[in-house]
Amino acid sequence: MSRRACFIILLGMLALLAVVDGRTSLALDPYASPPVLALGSGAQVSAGLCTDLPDRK
Amino acid sequence: MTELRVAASRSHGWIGGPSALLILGFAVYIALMAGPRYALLLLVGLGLGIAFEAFSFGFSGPWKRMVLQRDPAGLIAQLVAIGIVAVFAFPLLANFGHELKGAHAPVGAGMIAGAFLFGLSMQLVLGCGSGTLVNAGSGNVVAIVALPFFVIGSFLGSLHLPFWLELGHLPVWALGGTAGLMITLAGLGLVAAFVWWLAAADKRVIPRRFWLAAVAVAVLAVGHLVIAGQPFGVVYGLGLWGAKGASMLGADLSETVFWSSAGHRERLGQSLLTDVTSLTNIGLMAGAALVTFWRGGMTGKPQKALPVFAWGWVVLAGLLLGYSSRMAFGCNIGAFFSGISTGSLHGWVWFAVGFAGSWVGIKLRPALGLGS
Repeated sequence: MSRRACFIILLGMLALLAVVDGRTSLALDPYASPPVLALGSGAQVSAGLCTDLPDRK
Repeated sequence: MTELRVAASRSHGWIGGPSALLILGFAVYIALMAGPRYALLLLVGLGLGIAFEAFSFGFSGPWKRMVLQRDPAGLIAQLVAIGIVAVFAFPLLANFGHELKGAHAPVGAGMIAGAFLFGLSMQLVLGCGSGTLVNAGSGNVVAIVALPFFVIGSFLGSLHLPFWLELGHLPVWALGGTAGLMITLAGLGLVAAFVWWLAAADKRVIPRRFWLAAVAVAVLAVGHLVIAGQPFGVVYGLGLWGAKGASMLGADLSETVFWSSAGHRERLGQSLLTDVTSLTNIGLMAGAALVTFWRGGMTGKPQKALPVFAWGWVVLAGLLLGYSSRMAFGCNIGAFFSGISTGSLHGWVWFAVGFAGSWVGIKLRPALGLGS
């Protein structure tokens, strides 16, 4: 397969991802913009690590 | 990053300029619609993709060269990059721990098994977490085939993670402060010295491009920590893409332990344009694509063919990459690179076990029809 064909397939995958995201997400809110940097924002961040699992007990 | 090189064709280099403008336009759109912080994260990912591809810097290739040729250059450059990040990350985490978070996770049975499987799989597709994205962005057919299965595997891994955690794990253990930084730098230095000692005599030269790559990747990784509040990672975004796909197809993820937890549930309902790892993942692919365009690499010539059955191994390896990285609390980036540079013990364990898995993967490649 040529590299050009691979790029086209990749673009297709990203387009599919955009469709999936559009169908599963709330609309973006431009007024809810976070600070430019996490550093100095004063906000606790979540790294999305798996250790954030709820207690199953 | 790629092993499958094709002859460059300068006639296609003109695409680079418009593509760069398109990506910058996308960043402006994100800045306006989601916020400048998210636009910056896309640009950090873009820079990382450019650095990885332009300097041919990665993880699976250098590990393979260390095993097969006793060439330590790429591996030592990785350790240098990790060390540079650590020099900045340790004081940042010590002083701004309420705003910044390290890549800290527990060592456990599932984590160790996952690191081994990831190391093995990344040699089968010759692409790690970042490498698969960069290779896909550069138009590598193996990475293009592996990527969707990486996404599916990461999602499946998130569903089964509680099972792997129940096999047992130690508490999260992380170094911190000046003493922690000194221990981390000493550990990196010892590994580098050991690798140097193992190296073939004629391979004990580190090319300039690797030094440049190490500095560029480290600077961008520190920038990522400061902007995002968390270290550079890859896998979470891919699992999120899979989870969103499953949701769209009607799956109810509110019953799953992983996706029902507060942070993950919120991410599932928000746009990917506000997800840190999704943005840097897209940036990695875009950066690699830009370098390929600038090099005039979008040629019509076919890439090296693999036997039909070898594609089955590529698909399986893609699934395993995703699944095992969830078991291991990250891939070579989230666990090895970011784990060690922010003091987590699991990063060191991931490195040792992942390298052992890589050794097995390298030895398996010829038997699986994937070449040497």
